[in-house]
Amino acid sequence: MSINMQPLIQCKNIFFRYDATDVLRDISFDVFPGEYIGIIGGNGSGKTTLLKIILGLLHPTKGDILFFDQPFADFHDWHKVGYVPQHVFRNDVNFPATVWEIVESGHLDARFGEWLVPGKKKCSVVERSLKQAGIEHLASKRIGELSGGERQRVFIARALVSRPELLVLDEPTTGIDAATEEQFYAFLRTLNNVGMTIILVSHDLEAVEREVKRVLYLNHCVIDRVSKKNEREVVLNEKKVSNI
Amino acid sequence: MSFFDIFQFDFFVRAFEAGLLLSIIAPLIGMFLVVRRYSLFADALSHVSLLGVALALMLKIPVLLGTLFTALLAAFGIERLRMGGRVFGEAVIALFLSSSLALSVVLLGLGGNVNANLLSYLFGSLTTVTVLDVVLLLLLFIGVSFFLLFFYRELFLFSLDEDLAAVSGVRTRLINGIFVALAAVCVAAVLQIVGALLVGALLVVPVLAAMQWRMSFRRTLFLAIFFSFLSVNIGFFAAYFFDIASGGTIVICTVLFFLGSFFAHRRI
Ligand SMILES: Nc1ncnc2c1ncn2[C@@H]1O[C@H](COP(=O)(O)OP(=O)(O)O)[C@@H](O)[C@H]1O
Ligand SMILES: [Mg+2]
Repeated sequence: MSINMQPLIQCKNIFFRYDATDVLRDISFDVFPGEYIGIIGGNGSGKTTLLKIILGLLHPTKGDILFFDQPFADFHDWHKVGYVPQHVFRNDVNFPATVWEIVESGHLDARFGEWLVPGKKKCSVVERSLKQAGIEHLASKRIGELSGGERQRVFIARALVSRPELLVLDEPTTGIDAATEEQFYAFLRTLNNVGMTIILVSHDLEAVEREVKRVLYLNHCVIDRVSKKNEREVVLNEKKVSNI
Repeated sequence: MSFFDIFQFDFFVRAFEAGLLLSIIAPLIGMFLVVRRYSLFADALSHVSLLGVALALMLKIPVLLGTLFTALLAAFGIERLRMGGRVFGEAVIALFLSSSLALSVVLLGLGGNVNANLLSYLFGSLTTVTVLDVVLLLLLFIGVSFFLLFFYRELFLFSLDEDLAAVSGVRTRLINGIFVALAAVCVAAVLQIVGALLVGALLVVPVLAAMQWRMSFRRTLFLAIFFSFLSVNIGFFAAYFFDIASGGTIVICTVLFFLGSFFAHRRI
């Protein structure tokens, strides 16, 4: 087991407030390469806010973050990051885009006018992602025609297109039935087993404690507990994500 | 007089060229406005541009300068307020739309003898198209084309979800800034042709018509251009031969395309 423990993300004493309400208070933790981390907390406990801060979408009121060892201003390798937001695409059923187009948008390797006639390489990358998420058959469907669970998969496929090293999911199993949820967690496990770092946010305590290797419990603005899974060894595999 | 004889008139050739350019530019901008639920943005800008017309007439400067200046200023003002998050995007638009209309009506009233002129800016007129307008539209056409050829994916993603765009490395502020500026210039440039009251419809209705066919984003975009192109042409010739208002005729055409698409799709 190799330990080149340079953290992927370092959060140091993060504070965040919206106007007068404190949302996060003095949050510190590191995320290491290959980890599978769960962030658990009730509704309104600040999970989404914490994720947005981790991803540079919100700026902390106080505190520092190093993202891939850099401040956000210097970070440009966004293809290394896959993000599946909470409630993405909840009510815009008329958005005129196909599953293919949405998945394709996960990689912005735009060359001049390339979008008019997508190249072979681009197509194969999109197809691989669709297959990974098990939605090849939906490729030409419009996003608005899909069920909640199918849509969730589309955005996961989208997040995987750029072969990210870090996958961040915000309550990905909301509105998904039990059987699909089981499949979904198995899928995340395979991604993690080949070295992808995963941060999973959820309010589903049971499932996350079962699946994840380290859990941060977010409660009243602070992380009040961290638990590590002992049964399963933290294996950091050197294999590349592309070998899935 | 035969059909082609009308091209002997300089003003008609100019209007025709302007129409062709604008029929392509309008849905390119309108598409992204519609999917961002920002359809009324163009309307707000066109009403603010009217204020620009009033100011330009009062100060005796070229009208185009007035409309460009006010449209750009309003566009960034609206975006600023919307992003500040203190007022709903929709409400910001209503605020700009009505206040600028009120101001321009008052200003034009003070100016006295400008009512006839105002009418042509409200409803558009073929005969007022100048060479300068055509040149501006051509530049705008080139600008919009290049912007989309380079940044289509970024703009698409930005329209889908701003957070997703940011985490994919889209410079959201820059992309949005350029887009908003292009939209403002577009509105100012076509104001005299279609009229302040109808600019919004020209940008939005062909897109809505195309969306009825439930196709991919790209195809919807091209279908919208097709509808808009036909509408502008039919509208122009109808307006000329039957001596009716061009802006209104064009918009009626787009609405007919919308209705046709709506019912055609229902039957399929
Ligand atoms: N845009 C906002 N403005 C003001 N308060 C907000 C905003 N977004 C979230 N909050 C507040 O911040 C707290 C944390 O929200 P959030 O991070 O979405 O929680 P979670 O994802 O754990 O359900 C909540 O109390 C919520 O009311
Ligand atoms: Mg949340």
